Amino acid sequence: MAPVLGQFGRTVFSNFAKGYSHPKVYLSNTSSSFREMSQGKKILLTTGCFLTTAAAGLAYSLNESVKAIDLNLHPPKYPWPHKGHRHEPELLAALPFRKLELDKAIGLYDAASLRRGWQVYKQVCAACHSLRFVAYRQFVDLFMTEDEAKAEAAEATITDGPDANGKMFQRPGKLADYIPSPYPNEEAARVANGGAYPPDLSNITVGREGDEDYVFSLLRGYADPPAGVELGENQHFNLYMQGNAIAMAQALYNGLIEYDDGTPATASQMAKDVTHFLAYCATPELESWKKYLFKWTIISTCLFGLAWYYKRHLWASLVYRRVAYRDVNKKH
Amino acid sequence: MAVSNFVYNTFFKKSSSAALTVVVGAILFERGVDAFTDSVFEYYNRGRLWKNIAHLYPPKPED
Amino acid sequence: MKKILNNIFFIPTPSNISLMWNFGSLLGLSMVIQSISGIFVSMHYCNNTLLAFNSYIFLSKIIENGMILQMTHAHFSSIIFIIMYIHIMKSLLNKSFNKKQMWISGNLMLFMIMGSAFIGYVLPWGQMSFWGATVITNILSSIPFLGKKIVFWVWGSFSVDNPTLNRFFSLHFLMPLMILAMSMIHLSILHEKGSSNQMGLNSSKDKIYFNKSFMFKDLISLMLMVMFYCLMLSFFIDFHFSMAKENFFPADPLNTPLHIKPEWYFMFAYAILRSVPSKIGGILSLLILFLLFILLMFNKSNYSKFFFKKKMLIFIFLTCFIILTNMGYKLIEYPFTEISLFFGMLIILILPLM
Repeated sequence: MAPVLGQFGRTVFSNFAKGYSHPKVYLSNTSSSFREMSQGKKILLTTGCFLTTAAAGLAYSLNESVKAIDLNLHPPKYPWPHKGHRHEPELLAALPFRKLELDKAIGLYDAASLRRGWQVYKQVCAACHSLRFVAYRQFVDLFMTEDEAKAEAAEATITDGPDANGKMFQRPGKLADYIPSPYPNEEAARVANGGAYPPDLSNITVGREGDEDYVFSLLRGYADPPAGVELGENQHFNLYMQGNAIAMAQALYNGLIEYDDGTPATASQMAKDVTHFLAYCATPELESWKKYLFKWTIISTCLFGLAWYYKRHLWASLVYRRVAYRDVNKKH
Repeated sequence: MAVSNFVYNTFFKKSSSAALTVVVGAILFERGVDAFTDSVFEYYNRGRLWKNIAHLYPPKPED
Repeated sequence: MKKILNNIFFIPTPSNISLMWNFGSLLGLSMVIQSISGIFVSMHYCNNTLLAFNSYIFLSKIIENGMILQMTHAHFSSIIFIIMYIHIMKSLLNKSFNKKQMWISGNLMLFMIMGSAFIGYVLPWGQMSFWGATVITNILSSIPFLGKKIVFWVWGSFSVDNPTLNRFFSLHFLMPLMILAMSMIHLSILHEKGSSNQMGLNSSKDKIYFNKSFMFKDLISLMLMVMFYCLMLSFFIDFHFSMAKENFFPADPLNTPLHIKPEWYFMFAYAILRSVPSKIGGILSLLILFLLFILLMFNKSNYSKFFFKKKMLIFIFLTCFIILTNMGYKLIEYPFTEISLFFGMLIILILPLM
């Protein structure tokens, strides 16, 4: 053990004296390094590595082809204000990095779109879909004034706790209330919709594969079933739904509602607005979260720079040590 | 040289004044980073935030 | 007090340990972050099946900065696993598993962290939480005579239900405290025995104080991790990456999701579990893997990481691990079961050779 360590030590120090920071250690009695292998072994090793890489590549390509067996149509990526690729030409021209999704880093929700989306939800979707985790007070200073939000809440009737006589009563909503569900429970929802449960929309844009793009494409993806496709009684053909059959009929048609800011209410405009609104419902704190991330990127970069400089300063005397080897056994 | 000497002697020589400098510097730095972050976000999302469209919805007069 | 400080700041440390040695302290700091964010999350959590999902949504959407707390807690569990796997890879490379006490305490921590991560995932009581808990706790039912009884005992009921959630919350709160105690033991054993270094040699001649030099080196890696985390989340990774899509809907015992799968850090174990057709076979393979992993400390390996053979073994181990992780995501059909069986057996066979 000790002679081996001694031999290690000698080679280590002599290499260290050369000035490498990671000296290499060679032991001559085992073929531990590449350059000392025989010709045959080198060929064997190279072929082995090549074959492994080829096998890995084959496995990867087979895997990719398996993915195409999946019969789902993947939705395209749309330029959402808070997520997608921005297409403003002058901004893209100013940036050296065009591919980086700045919208994902510092894009916030579009207040006008949220306002229109709420109108679409209220007039079209609220008949069947609940939105249990959104309260009217969240709208204040996001896309409505306080008075408008109070008026919106007052349009809804909320069942409230026992009164002085012990009975539940109905009252108009307040800002603090959550948006009331159209049905009292899941069974009632199923009965009213032919056995299918209209899911709660509070998390739908993060709870479905494809996020907002999927929801938008689904709303726009209705088509006539191709020849040979048989649908059940309550089912409609949708290009993006898993299995292509969805229980919800197409809900958005051109001119279905009127927006209060005058935007033409085409079907795709309504689909985009309501999806944007649902994206807000799924992640209301996105704006403060992104601001925190931005702040913390700056702070951690500065702190990293400072810490790195100071560490190199502290380690300077150590890292640049040189060892002079003097063989005490050698007679001078 | 003179500047760094002055800075060292006034702020960083004594541990107590160094600590005070660090704390005050951190507060000021964070205020600066907050203001910078807000301005970046407001510039990038100009025209899309509620404060940009609030003027379209003035409070209605009492009926 | 002075003795404690002496033990922390003035520990003789080898002067040439590289950045790979930073991951231990980084793990400790990440566990602290996780514990603190976990305390704040647990303030708003309700561990009854009727209220659990609602409380989680309430925290995430309604409470001021609740999303930041919940996201930090969820994301850091993935970060801890990445750092832990790198830490383990470092110890495999540098033959640190021959330090028996370190290896045992580290492995205990590994299993406790895995357990607490699994239990933590059940707590939001979404679809994937419920069904993942059902699948994994059903493993226990394959124990020969007492299987079913043990499973009912663990569940507290005849399926994963309210009693299970109640005890999982208490366990999830308790385990990090045990992990904390274990990490202090791990650290004190290390301070007694001394760190290894990347040459694999005895470094008694060349030690420096931990104070300042290594503290700032550890600070660098912490800052780098935070910077990396912020940049990745800002540009590349979706915010909700740590939660399966189905988990955003409340648990429904009558409705099985299509693809029940645990988090990415358990995928290699999941692949090995499902690779063998019989239930007990998969469990035995996984148990053998973990047992051989613990028994690595008895390996008399004379070769350091500079030897070609060792490099090959590590490369095969890493490849097996990555392929097994990928296989965990696939369906149970040809060729994926064969691939996971092959690589599972391979990873089990090369462990005694390392």
